[in-house]
Amino acid sequence: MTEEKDFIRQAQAGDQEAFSWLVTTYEKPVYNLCLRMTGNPEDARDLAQEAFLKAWRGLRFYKFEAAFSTWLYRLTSNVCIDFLRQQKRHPTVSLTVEDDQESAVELELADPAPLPEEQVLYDEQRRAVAAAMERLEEDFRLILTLRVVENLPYEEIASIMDLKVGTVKSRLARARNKLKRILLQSGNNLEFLSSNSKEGGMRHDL
Amino acid sequence: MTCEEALVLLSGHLDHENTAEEEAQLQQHLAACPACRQLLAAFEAVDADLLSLEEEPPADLHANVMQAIRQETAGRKRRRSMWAGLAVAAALTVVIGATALRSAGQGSAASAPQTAMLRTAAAEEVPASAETTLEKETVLEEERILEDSDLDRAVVGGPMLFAAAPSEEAAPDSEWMDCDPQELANQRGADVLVTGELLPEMELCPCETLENGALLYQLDTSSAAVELSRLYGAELYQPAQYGTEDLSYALLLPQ
Ligand SMILES: [Zn+2]
Repeated sequence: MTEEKDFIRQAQAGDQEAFSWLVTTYEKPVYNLCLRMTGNPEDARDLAQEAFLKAWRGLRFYKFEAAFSTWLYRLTSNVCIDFLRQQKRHPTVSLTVEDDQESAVELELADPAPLPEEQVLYDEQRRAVAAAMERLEEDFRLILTLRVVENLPYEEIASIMDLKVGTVKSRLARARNKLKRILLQSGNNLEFLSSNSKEGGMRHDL
Repeated sequence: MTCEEALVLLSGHLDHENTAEEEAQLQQHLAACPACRQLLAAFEAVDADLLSLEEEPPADLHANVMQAIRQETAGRKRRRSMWAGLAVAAALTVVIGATALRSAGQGSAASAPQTAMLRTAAAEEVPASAETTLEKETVLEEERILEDSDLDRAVVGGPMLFAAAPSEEAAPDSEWMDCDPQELANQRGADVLVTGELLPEMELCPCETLENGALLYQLDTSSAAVELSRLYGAELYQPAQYGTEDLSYALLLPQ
């Protein structure tokens, strides 16, 4: 962390190499936040780049009061929300609809492959969750991504989103519930989901 | 405990954010409520799938970011030196114009003081018909100065010469009274952000009071207003032409 502070100070003084270190450290979380907020890799790539550019330009405003990650997540989520609102204001007939669908379809399969048949079902399930996320309200999408994908504690989510910790807790519960409802509505079998869950503890046996 | 109350604790359980007391209450409820056990299993599954969607960033993201930063930094320097170049060129035009006028009036060579100002080797013997050559040579000289990236010298030279010329742009203080942000942006040759409240980023910035009571904060770089505008959704006014200085402004208008 002191190392990070050094890099931040150097970057604030205009050192591009120091900023490069910060990009390396945060490109995965920043990109994945953009990916879940927009639902497609093309936009996520653009927005992640925009977020880092804005971070570079605005770095002098970072005063070490909050964690750097908090500052960067907040900036990135603002970039994403601006983008989504702009899209809503100016809905365009996208020429990349096909691309979007393709990219939503081709999920990377990083894990050692299970049996092919299971793999197909598993991929379908992941696609369904990705699609359900896109139908979720922005705030729910953001808070779920920060919690589940970025693995942030409530405290940090609270400062990123300007909420009280208690609100984070209840909003996450509502977000999870809504996401589950969307999945059920679109005909997803949540029992299959649970059989893929790595958590063994609370499985229901019906 | 109702199932509705249990919902928040289910979520807190997954996030390891429940207090010991909350956790005990939840376990008690779960032991007696199959529906909530099922809900917890579904939540666990959705969380796991959501997490499994995590991807590596595109391989070229890092390089693209750094390239954009390099370009932007270079672009800003270029913009600055270009304007400095324009200022010098304009100033030279004034001087050359005066030279030409005088030459035409006296029907003789250019006057020594003015050509000396230009420090052009050939200047002392320039005939009235040779302004074009003179201009070309001095511009070349100024270009060399800029290439040496001795920007300060070029920039300092500009306004000095400007001041000697009768300028139409010199007077308009009175227009600031109206606080037309676009006008202000043009006057200052810098981006002007308009805000109705003091933003935390403005607090330590130098501030001047305009005649109508509006406060004008000087931000410390030309990109600062753009960044603030994005962060706070505030309106941004961009000048017809940028000035030489690397700064922008935030205009705090009384509400
Ligand atoms: Zn229950």
